[in-house]
Amino acid sequence: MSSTARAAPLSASFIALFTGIYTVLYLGYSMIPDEFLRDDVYYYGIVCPSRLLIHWLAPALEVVGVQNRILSPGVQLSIVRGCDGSGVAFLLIGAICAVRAGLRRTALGIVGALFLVYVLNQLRIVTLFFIDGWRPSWFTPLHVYFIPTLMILLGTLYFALWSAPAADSRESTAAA
Amino acid sequence: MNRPLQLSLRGLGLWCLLSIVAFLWARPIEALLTPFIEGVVDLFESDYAAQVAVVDSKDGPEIEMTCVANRPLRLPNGTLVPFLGSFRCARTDAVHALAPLVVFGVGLLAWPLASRRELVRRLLWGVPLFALVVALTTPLLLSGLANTVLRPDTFRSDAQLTALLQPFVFMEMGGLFLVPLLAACLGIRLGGPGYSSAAATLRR
Repeated sequence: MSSTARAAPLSASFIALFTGIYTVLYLGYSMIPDEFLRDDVYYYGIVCPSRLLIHWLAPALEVVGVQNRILSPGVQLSIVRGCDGSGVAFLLIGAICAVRAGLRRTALGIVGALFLVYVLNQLRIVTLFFIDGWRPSWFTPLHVYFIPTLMILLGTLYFALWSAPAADSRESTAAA
Repeated sequence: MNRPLQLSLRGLGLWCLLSIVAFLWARPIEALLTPFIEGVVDLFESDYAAQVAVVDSKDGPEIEMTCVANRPLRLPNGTLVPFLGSFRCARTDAVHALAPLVVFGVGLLAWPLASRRELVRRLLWGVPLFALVVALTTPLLLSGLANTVLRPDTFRSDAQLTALLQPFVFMEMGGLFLVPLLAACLGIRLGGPGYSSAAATLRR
């Protein structure tokens, strides 16, 4: 098992693999039935943890989770396809796999990426819940611009940090 | 300060700067882009001609597309739109439309530069790539939204088929960021001597 990356970020093979892996993941995700996402993945994976976090932050607030919705007096937040951070996760997985840095490094990179995206997405959901209830005029700019672009930026920075040692080893291999 | 940290700070700084620009000047920027957006929509839509304008709403500026029928069109609710008749067919947030452009700008400019000449080359390549990002994002979104009005039956199929048939669904699910990131990668490659020198710059 080699820790040396075989494709430099920005090389033609990296770009082709990155796009291909993203597309395959996206099409695979499209095959998942809406009902399974709504009733199982979103409920147990996003709604329940978000409800706990909201309850911890605002114990007096009555919050319930129903299928893919987080409900409280005056706020109804629905988690739909794409609100699960899958787009950012697929980009990161595609980029990490496309570097071809060895199985162990790639696997660790993917696990870290999924953890990062999950945490960021939970924070996004909880933030949007409070914004929807208390600053509704901020909801649209945060939802459609600030949070998605910030998640992409943080994902890109994670990838840059993860791939820096791979670039180093490639450079030293080339020098040797 | 090490280079990955510098890269991170540069990325964050650029994101803040471009976000301020996007918020303060979303309206004039999108107004400048509307003729181009109209042209791209007209390239792949034959049922109608697009008229795109930036309008105000309670949530801020929005891009509104009016469809002018190139032939009589029957809407799913039974309304008949005569030849050259028009109806509002799509609307999207102006700042949302700028998100891929900001990602492209940050990606293109935050990556380490070996020289000023490289910056100039990168910026020059950035112009056509910027146009490519615009062409593949907002027009696809607007025509996709118009399709939800004109041909809702194409959205009733299963999720994967919808995803394959409707490029705008792909774009809204993450393609919106894939396109600018790929364009930025391309701009960095075309504008510079390659990754090796950038990686060397990063480590120095």
